[in-house]
Amino acid sequence: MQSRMPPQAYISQDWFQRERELLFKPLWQFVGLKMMLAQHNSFITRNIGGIPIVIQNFNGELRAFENLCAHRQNPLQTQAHGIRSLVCGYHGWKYSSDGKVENMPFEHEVFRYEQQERECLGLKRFRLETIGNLVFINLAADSLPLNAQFNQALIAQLEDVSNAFDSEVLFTTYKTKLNWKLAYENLRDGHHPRYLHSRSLYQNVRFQVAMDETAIKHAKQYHANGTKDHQQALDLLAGFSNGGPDEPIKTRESYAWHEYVERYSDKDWYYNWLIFPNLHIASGSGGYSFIIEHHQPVSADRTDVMIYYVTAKKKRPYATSAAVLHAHLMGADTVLREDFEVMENIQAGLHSNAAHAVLGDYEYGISAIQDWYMDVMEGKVTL
Amino acid sequence: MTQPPDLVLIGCGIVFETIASTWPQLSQGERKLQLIRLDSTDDAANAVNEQLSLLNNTEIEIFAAIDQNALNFARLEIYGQARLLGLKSTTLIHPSAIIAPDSRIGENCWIGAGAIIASGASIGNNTLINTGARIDYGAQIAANCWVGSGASIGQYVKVGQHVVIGSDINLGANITVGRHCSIDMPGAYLTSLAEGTFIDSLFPSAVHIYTSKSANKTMPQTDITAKEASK
Ligand code: FES
Ligand SMILES: [Fe+2]
Repeated sequence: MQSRMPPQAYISQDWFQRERELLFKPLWQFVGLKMMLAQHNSFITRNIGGIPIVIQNFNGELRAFENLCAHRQNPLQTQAHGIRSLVCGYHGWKYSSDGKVENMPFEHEVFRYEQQERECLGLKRFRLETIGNLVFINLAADSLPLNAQFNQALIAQLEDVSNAFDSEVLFTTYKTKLNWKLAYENLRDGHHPRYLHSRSLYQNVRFQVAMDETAIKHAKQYHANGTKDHQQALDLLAGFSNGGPDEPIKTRESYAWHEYVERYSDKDWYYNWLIFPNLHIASGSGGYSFIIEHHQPVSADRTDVMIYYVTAKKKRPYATSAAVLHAHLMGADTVLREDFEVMENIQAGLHSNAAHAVLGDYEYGISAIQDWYMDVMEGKVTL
Repeated sequence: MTQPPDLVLIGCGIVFETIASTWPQLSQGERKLQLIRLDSTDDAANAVNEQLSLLNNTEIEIFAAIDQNALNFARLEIYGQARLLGLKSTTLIHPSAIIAPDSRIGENCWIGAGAIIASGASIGNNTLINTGARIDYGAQIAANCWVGSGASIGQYVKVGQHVVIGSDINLGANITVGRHCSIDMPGAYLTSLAEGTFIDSLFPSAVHIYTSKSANKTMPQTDITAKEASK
């Protein structure tokens, strides 16, 4: 089955900008973990499709704003994470939880705004919602509700699993040279671990491709007919995010620290959640620890892959917890790099006359997303 | 003259092999050496527990020698287990190391060949200082650390527990390195590092561990690379 995705979808900067308007603006975006925003004045900064965002805790309430001062557009918070009130470092304006300028030093001496102008000063605010410890924001004022993007069963699972996360988090960013869509396609490709990860992940988890004949038939019909209407587009969208127990683990290692945490489940399975468009949560240890992988698109050929490692909630603090997280990072790094290398090679080889991909039956999941995506990008449906 | 107690060397890795092979020099022929060599650093304490409990604690001293594995927790497992059993552990200093008389060095420490420990410096228990490393005036290195070969720690630097400082790393004077850091990209570091920071050539941007507690104390620094730090 020939993919509808032209090479431009992966390499063109114009395309990337259109994608931001048609896809990233209407969709809810994962931005971070609530555990890292637990205290008054704790914040994170992110960049969503070129828009700088700050999420800040105001006395327990999380707010999302554009991270640019209303005075001269200086970024308010300059670090990725921290604890600091929402104050601009340039001329000292301080913002309140509604985004208004709460304190403007020397307001009457040097700024002397007209009353009406002064009242309009404020930050651009975005909608924010949480599912358990997962924080999402939305860039559009009138977009779909979060529970239209994800189905109820998934929301319940995500709430459950993310509430099991401990508050000690290891965080790092890999700056990769690939289009963000290659990452979600790769994650939905159950056939590659046997080859690409033959000496790493596949040793422990024997991933099987699921040849779901009904789903394959539907994907083919959909490929031939396209999206009927808005409602079908939404139904399909909700179906793109799913997960749960994936494959049994061949041999689950046990470690002393397992006793110190409240395991998320009692099954020795590999857990996997794919959250469209760009979030992946997995547990390779049967619920003792988790990786949260977020593909933040920077440009057509650049993606910041933000990685968080957490264990399940501690029953009590234990001395080796930092070493445990460090070991997870070192362990998973090999697999991540194997994936990045292949995706970066594909990205580097693409050019405007490159052929379209030819998808096999097992890639029905990728095919459905691509067909849906192209209908959105070609304006046949709007979200 | 009483005979010094025999030494039981337990572990594996670079420091273990170095001590084993230079023992005649280290002991000046006066002490006997017994080796307990481990196959791996996993679950080290359990692996040696039985052997340790058979040792007579008045006639021997022990030295736990495992490299920086798991932020030095693997070595601490053995050292801690030996302490629980009432065994005495010792500190070993290569004869070519230069140690200021007013420096302080804890137990189960190793000071490798050619290392220099300056006046007023202090080294906590179970910390290994490798070949040719230099610890400057007044620097404080906490317990359970690893300082790689050729690394230099500037004067008055403070290094927290369970820190790994790789080879050929230079820490500028007066900085603080929080606990649980691992710095493994050679270069000069001139600013303090928050606890739970990992700098490694594998990771282009620094890795941080965030806890609600640590975020309170120090502002984490983003994206420090050795290149930027050495500017
Ligand atoms: S730019 Fe922020 S106060 Fe001036
Ligand atoms: Fe993969």
